[in-house]
Amino acid sequence: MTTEDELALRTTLERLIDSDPLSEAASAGLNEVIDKVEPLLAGGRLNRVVELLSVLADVVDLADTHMIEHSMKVFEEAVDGYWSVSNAARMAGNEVIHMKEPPSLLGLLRMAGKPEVRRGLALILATAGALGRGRLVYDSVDPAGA
Amino acid sequence: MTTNILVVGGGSGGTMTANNLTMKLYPEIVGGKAKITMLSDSPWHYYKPGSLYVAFSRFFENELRRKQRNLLRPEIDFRVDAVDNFEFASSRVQGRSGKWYDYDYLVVSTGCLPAPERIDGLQEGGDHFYDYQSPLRLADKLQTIEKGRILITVSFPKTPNVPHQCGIAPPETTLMVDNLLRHRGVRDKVEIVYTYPTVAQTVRGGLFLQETTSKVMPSIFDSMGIKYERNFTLDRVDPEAKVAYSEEGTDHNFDILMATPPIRAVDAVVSSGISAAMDDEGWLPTDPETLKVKGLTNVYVLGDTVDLRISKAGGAVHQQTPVVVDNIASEIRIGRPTAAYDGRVTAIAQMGLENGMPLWYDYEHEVQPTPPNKLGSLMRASFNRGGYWAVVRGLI
Ligand SMILES: Cc1cc2nc3c(=O)[nH]c(=O)nc-3n(C[C@H](O)[C@H](O)[C@H](O)COP(=O)(O)OP(=O)(O)OC[C@H]3O[C@@H](n4cnc5c(N)ncnc54)[C@H](O)[C@@H]3O)c2cc1C
Repeated sequence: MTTEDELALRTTLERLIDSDPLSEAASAGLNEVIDKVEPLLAGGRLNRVVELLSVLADVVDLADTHMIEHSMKVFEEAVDGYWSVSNAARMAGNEVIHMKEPPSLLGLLRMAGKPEVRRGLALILATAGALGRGRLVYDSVDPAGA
Repeated sequence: MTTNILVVGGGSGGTMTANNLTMKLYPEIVGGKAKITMLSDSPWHYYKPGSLYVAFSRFFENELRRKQRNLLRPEIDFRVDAVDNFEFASSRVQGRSGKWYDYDYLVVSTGCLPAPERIDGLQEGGDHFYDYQSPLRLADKLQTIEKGRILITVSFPKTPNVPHQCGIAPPETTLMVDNLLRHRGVRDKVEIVYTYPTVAQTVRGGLFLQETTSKVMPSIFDSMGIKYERNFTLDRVDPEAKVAYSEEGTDHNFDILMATPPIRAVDAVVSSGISAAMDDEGWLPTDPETLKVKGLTNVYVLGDTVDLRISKAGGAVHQQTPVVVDNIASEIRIGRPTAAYDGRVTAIAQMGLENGMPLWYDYEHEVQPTPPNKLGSLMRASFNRGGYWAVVRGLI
């Protein structure tokens, strides 16, 4: 911003403060804002804030309800994943911490006898299956080199 | 000895409270000194504000509900068993299964129910969006109306100074109806008439339940060509003639009657015998600060079941939850409640289909309306779709 621009902005702001329709509270608020903005203007840092605002304005202009709804679906799935894993880890951690000794091999087998443990193991194996089907475990580079 | 905390109601308030309480009392829970049980009448958790969008064909049932079990911390013992009987004197409740559940602390968050049957002819002649089925019918009508008149009515509970559910919903949906009809290209042939009752909590002859907002409503409605009428307290509806009559002696004909119906607490709460609410509405007498049920030392209540003057809204529940959680935890740990509710409610109002308005108020301050904008609408959309489920899990 040139000095001329800054002067123009200042006069506009001053005119705003002096104009009748502004209430006392609003004028006081504006004065406070000017005090805060002053060092930013002096250091030329306000330009960055304006640039940031314009990027933000572009984002808001480009975004629409569909885009937000789609991203929130991803957000919900991420929260779901975090929720399941962190809850499971907390509960399991609490169980393990109370074991005086690590379970023996037989003890591990006994644990695997519990239906909820078998369900968990089945989930892990099914997840491995899904990962395999989705080929996520393979090199992502196309072998045909296309 | 284990302290048993029983949460009744698996909706917004119950779920947030049970989840947050689990984390707050984690040391006691893993040490076997505290246990949290939740009873609800359904395995599903409905995002209730979503039904408002059902009326505008923007939400389907599977999008506004989730399995309650998946929303709860696994440490919580969740049972689907509707409570039929509260026995406060002996600190226990009875489920529909016949089983009794004892508690040391009880949290009641069973919400409220629309009760259009309380106004003669409203059930048959009117439409509303306070459950899932009714807005589906309303959506058909709003999508097909070509010309005529849409009448909006608002009914308050008979208990003085208790609001209807979600105070901002009537103006929100009025603006949404206007937008929808404009999109459909029939707005010029359909008249929209917004009416408001004479008594709206402390406001008399206004257009909203808070004075400041009530005063700015005419300019908003005028700019959109929406007609409005004060002092129209819905008394009865003639479904055949399609006429709505007011207690003040006026009437309006309509093609669609979009009503905010009377509401009441659920049966088990109404018949619990401790409500002082009028007309069998059932609101529990609530200490405005501790959120305890007045006269009972170990029962808390939050959400739509309270008899407080603040909004029956999720944005109120979100602010009440930490108070109930802190108070139960401090009672267990130091023998007295420590937190006080300041009446704060936060929300993002959907002002028409494309704009939103973030707002807040509390016991001391009214809503200060700000210009609705697109960012507000996007924030609301993100809350509708994913934000809510993170909030009820106690993550936000
Ligand atoms: C159309 C509509 C629009 C809304 N819009 C907004 C909005 O924009 N912003 C906002 O903040 N709020 C809004 N709300 C309000 C918000 O949804 C409620 O204030 C909030 O859900 C109240 O929470 P609660 O826990 O009291 O009740 P609820 O969330 O209704 O939960 C009650 C629970 O109790 C269960 N239950 C009922 N009876 C029994 C029983 N006998 N035994 C066991 N369980 C039982 C029910 O199944 C349910 O799970 C809206 C509500 C509606 C209907």
